[in-house]
Amino acid sequence: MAQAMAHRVQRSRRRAIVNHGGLLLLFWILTAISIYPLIWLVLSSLKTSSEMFGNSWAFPEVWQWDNYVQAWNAGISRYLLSSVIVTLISTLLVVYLSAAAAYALVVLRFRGKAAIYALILGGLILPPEVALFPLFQTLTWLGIYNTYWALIIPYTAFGIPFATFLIRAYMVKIPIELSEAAAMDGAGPLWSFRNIYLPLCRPVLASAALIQSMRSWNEFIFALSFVESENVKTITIGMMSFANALRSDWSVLMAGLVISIIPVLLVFIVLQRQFIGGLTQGAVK
Amino acid sequence: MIKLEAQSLTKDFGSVRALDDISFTVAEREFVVLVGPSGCGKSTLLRLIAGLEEISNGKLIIEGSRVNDVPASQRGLAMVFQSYALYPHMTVEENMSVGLRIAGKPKDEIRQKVKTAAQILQLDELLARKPKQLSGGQRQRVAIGRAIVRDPTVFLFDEPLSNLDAALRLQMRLEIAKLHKQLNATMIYVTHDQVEAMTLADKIIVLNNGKIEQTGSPLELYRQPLNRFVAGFIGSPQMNFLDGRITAAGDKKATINLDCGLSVPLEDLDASLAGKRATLGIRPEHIVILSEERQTVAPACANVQVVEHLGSQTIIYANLEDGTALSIIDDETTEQCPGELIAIDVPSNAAYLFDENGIERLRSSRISERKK
Repeated sequence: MAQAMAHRVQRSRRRAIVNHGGLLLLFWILTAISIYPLIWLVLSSLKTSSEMFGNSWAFPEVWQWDNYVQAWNAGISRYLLSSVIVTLISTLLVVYLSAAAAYALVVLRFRGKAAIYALILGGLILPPEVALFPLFQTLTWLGIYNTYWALIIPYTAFGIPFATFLIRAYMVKIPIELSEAAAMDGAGPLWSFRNIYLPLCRPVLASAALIQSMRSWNEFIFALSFVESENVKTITIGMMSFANALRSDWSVLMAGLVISIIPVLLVFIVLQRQFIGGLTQGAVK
Repeated sequence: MIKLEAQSLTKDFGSVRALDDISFTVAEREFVVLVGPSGCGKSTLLRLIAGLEEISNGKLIIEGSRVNDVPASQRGLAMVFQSYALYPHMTVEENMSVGLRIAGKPKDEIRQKVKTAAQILQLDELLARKPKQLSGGQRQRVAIGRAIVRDPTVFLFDEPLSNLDAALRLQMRLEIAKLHKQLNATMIYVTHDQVEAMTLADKIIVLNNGKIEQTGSPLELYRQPLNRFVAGFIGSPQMNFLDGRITAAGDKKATINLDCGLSVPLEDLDASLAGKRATLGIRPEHIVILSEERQTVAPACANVQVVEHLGSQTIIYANLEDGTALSIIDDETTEQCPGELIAIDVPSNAAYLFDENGIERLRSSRISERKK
């Protein structure tokens, strides 16, 4: 009896180890699959073009740091600046406006709240491509075609629905008594938004900021359609014209790609802890 | 001087009437307790006063002006919430100074006021801590401190002690009573605990089903309940209610024959009650347990079910012959045992009589006569 028991315990323990090991292996495979292209990209960016084609898998014979200098001077710096400006402003706008909308939806009392929330969520369903032509006309009419605003405003508009959804879900878990206590302390809604809700929502604001900055940074269709001057082009479009210009020089192009990835990577590393916390918070009570 | 006055306040949530025709006044420095069972509307009433809920009908007057449409932030009141509602990202000092900072008071004044309040509440050592690092009692103190610092027209308390354990609750109850004296403050306090109400209040307002059942001082409510609800709600253990029929009334010789077999003579009873069913109310502390020598006249027997020895007194839970449950407080040290039969008497001078509508007819009428 006891022996059978011990046997069973041993077997289940063995099974647990096998399961654990299997899971670990799976994670390693997934990690390798997602990381390998990046490693290949970095390695290629440090080779000469002929080496890149001839000896695709090897380490560079001579590390060609000069590729980066070339890429930077060939216009990457300009595109990078445009992207940073557009991403930064649209992200700040999305986070602030969505937080304000979420606050109103959660704390304030007014008629038609459910309808307004439904309208905002409706924006999630709308694919940006559908709005391409009307937006183009509107932007031309407003006289902001081919400026940063031609990207910042649409990015902000299309970013608000999801960010509002995300932040609202977090805010409803903040006890309503806090805003009531603030009201009793003599605070108006703006004060309790800025001094209570914004600080308490920091994790979810970080998540929203990260998601939005990645969206703005990687956006392609609007960037392709709404700007045309070199000094307004963002990195995604910049890389495309870069590819045309440097058709022969692939390794310099790779260097440019690496440069374009770095900012997003940095933002993610800085915010990742808050990001994961923000997305999962409240999933389990 | 009247600080706050409610005139026929009504609150509807959709088609549900949560509060109906509520009128009362709160004098300066008065401690008013709103008490009632859960769902009676007492917290809603407090929230109407605070401005956290809109008033459906009626008038709310604070210091002479109508404030129905004044937002909560401008009514000059302070509220202590059941959940404390401390701002979790601020230190104790910041929590307490929020009101003054919003009002734009000079920094020195703020620091001075927070310091004074912290001393009163023994929070001096904790000013730099965050709410997370405090115990329940300390959080409660901070919540009260936040109210004190603002020097409000009226303090509002929404069941402030219900999250504390029994010992701490008693201690905080005393502290709130002391604070009331020390600050000369006007306070409105909501609780479902009638002991809290009795110990703290100058004036108790008993609410039930969104209506005021009775308003009065603690002893008034205890001695002269207007109806069966108030009689049952105030006092612990609850007043005993014994059903019976009134045999005769008028000319000072009325008697009620209780279903348990006991007859109790009643004085000065309204003649119109003769022949009607009624309920006799008697508090546990007024029931007399008859010793063996006097049992020859024993009017009723009760079967002891449970005996609680509290030391200074003993609470006996017994069943009468017709099955009516009875609680008796016995100051004597005689020890009763479960299963034992005891003889009891209901002294008529301590009894209350409730008619079929639950209205008290014996004492309250005498009181109203006296008032005339």
